[in-house]
Amino acid sequence: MVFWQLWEVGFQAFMIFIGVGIIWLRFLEPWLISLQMSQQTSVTLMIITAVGLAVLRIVLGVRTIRKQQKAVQAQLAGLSGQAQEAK
Amino acid sequence: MLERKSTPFEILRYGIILIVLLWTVFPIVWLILTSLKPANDIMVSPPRFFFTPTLENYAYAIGKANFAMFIVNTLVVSLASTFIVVILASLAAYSFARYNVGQGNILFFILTTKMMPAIAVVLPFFLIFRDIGRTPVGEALGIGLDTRAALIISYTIFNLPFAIWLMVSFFQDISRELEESARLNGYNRLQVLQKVVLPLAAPGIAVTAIFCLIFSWNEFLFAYILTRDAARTITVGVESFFTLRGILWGPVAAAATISVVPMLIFVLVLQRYMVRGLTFGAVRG
Amino acid sequence: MASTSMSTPQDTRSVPKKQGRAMSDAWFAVLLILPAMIIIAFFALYPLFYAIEVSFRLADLTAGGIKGFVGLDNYRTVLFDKFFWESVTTTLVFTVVAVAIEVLLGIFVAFLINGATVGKGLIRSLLILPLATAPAVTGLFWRYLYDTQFGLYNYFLGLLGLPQPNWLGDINVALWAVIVFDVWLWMPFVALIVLAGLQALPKEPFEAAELDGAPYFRVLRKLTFPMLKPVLFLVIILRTIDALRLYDAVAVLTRGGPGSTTETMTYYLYRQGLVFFRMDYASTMALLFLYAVVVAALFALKPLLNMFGARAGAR
Repeated sequence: MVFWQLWEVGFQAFMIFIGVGIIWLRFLEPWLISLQMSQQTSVTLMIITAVGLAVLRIVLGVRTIRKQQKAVQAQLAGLSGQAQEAK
Repeated sequence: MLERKSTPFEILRYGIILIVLLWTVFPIVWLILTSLKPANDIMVSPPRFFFTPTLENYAYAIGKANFAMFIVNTLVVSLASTFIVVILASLAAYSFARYNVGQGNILFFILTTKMMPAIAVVLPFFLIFRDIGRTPVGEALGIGLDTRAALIISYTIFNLPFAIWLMVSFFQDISRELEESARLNGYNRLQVLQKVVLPLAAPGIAVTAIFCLIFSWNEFLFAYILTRDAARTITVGVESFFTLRGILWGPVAAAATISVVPMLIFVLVLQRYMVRGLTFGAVRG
Repeated sequence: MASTSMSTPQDTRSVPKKQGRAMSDAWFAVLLILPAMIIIAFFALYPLFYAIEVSFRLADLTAGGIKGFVGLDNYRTVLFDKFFWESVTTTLVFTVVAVAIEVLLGIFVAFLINGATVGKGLIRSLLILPLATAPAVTGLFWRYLYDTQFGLYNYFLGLLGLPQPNWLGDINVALWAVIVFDVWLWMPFVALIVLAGLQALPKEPFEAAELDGAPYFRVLRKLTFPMLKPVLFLVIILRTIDALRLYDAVAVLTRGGPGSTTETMTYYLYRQGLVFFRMDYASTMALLFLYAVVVAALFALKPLLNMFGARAGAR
C-alpha cells in the first residue's frame, strides 16, 4: 500500500514539473527575454524551478506518509495491547 | 408540480414529451424516407413528404460502391473485437472489483487512456500497422494497413477501457458471501469465477457487449485512416458518395440507413438492458 | 439470489494454507488483469512515447519526414499559436454551452417522464435511438437537414414564421448548428440516466414529506436534488469529457468552418497532423491536451476512484 501512496506522490510531482515548464514557456520566458536574458539561461532557471517544486512535493508527501504509517502502527499497538490485557 | 396528476398538467406533460420524442426521432425517420426517394424528390424546395418509394438508391449504393463488402467488413470487425474485449475486460474487471489491484491507480491509468482523443493516437497506429504489414509475420497473419485484423485490434484497444470500467460496477454488486461459500465448499478461485460469478454477472456482460458492438459498428476515424479498399467499413463508405459533381444525397441516405438501421433494431430489441447498463455506474456506483 | 446447489468438487488443487492463500490472491489478481493490461499498455504507451519523441523534433512529413532535434521550439510555437488558443476557446465555449443545455433539458425531460403513468418503456426506447447511430453518419445527413434550400429545418422554421438562418455558412450560427446537433444526440442520454436515478430513489422520504405537507419546490431542493447529486455529477463529467473531445460532428458538418469558427481542439489537431502533415505540432498539441486531461482527471476522478476502492475492500 505504501508503494501506491509513494507512486501517487511521485506522479503528482511529475505533473507539477511539467506544469511549471508549460507556464514558464508561455508567460515567463518572453518577459525574461525582454530583459535581455538568453533563452539558455531561461531554460536552465525553468528546469531548476520545476525540479525544485517537484522535489518539494515529494518531500512533503513522504512526510505525510510517514506520519500516517506511525499513526497506523500506534493504533495496531494499542489494539494488541488491549488484546493482551483481555487475555 | 411536475408530478401532480391533474388533467391539464397531464395534457401539457404528454404534449411536451411528444414534442421531445418527435424532435428526437424525426431526423432518423427523414433519413429513412429520403433513402427511398427518387432523386428528383430529394433536391426539391419545399421538401416533399409524399412520393413514390424506390429502391434505386440502394441499388446504386450496393452496386456501384461495393457496399456489400463494407457491410461484411463491419460485421466481422465489430463482432470479433467485441468478443475479445468482453473476455479480456471481464477478467480484468473482476480483478479490480474483488481485489482492487493497484489501489485505483491502475484503473485511473486505464480511464485516462479512455479520455484521449482518437486523433492523437491514430497516426502512431497507422505507422505501427504499416510497419507490421511489411514484415513476413504480419503478412502471414494478415495484419497490416487496410486489413480487418488492424481494425479488430484497434477496436479492441479502443473499447477495453470503457468495458472494464462498466463491468467493474457489475462485479462489485455480486455478493461476496456467495463466492466465499463456494470457496469454503472447496472450489478454487478459477472455478468460483466460472461457476458462480460469471453466470450472475451475465446481464452486465451482455450490456457491455452491446455497447462495444455499437461503438465498433459506428466508429469512424480509425476505419477512415487505417483502411482504404479491402477493409473499409460502412461508416466510412457513406462518405464515398461525396463526388466532385456534388453530394448524391439519395445514395448517401441509403448508405446511412444501412449503417444506422441494424443498430436501431438491435437497440430497440435490447432496450431494457441498455438502459440498465447506462445507469449502472451512475445509480448504483 | 438463486440458490446454487454446491456439491463439493474433486479438488484439482489442494486447498492452500492461509498464508499461501494471501500471497496467491495477489498473484491471481494480477494474472487476471495481465492480458488486458498488456494490450492497453502497449498500445497506449507506444503512441505516447512516439508523440514525446516527435514533439522535440522537426517533423514536416511533406518536407521529408522526421528530422533533427529542436528542443522546446515546438512547444513555444504551439503555446503562442493564435489558432491553437482560438480552438481552445471554441472547444470550451462549445463544451460549456452544449453540456449546460443537455443537462438542464435532460433533467427537465427526466422529471416529466418520471411523472408519466403510461408509455415509459416506449419513451425510453425512442430516446435511446440517437445514441445507436454513428455521429459521423447522421451528422453527414444533418448537412442536408441544415441546407438553406432543400433542408427540412428551415422549411419548418419558415412555416412557423421564424428566421431561417444559414446554419452552416453563417459565422455567427455555425457553432450553434454543431451545438444543436450535439444536444439532439446527447440530451436523451442525460434524460435516461437522470430518469433511472429518479426511479432508484427510495420512496419513504418522499412519502413522509408528502404527509408533512411539504411544498413541492422545497421537496425538490432539500430532498430530490441532494439525493440525485452523484448521478448528476457523473453525467456532467461524462458529457464534459466527451464534449471536450468533439471531432466527428465538426469533421462532418462544418469541417471547422466557416473560417475557423467551429474548429475544436481535436479538429485543429487533425488539420495540423493529417492535412498539413506537421506531425511535430500535432504531437505537441496532443501532449498538451493529454496533460490537461490528466490534471483534470486527477482532480475529478481520483476522489471517485478512491471511494471505489474503499467500496471494493468493504464488500
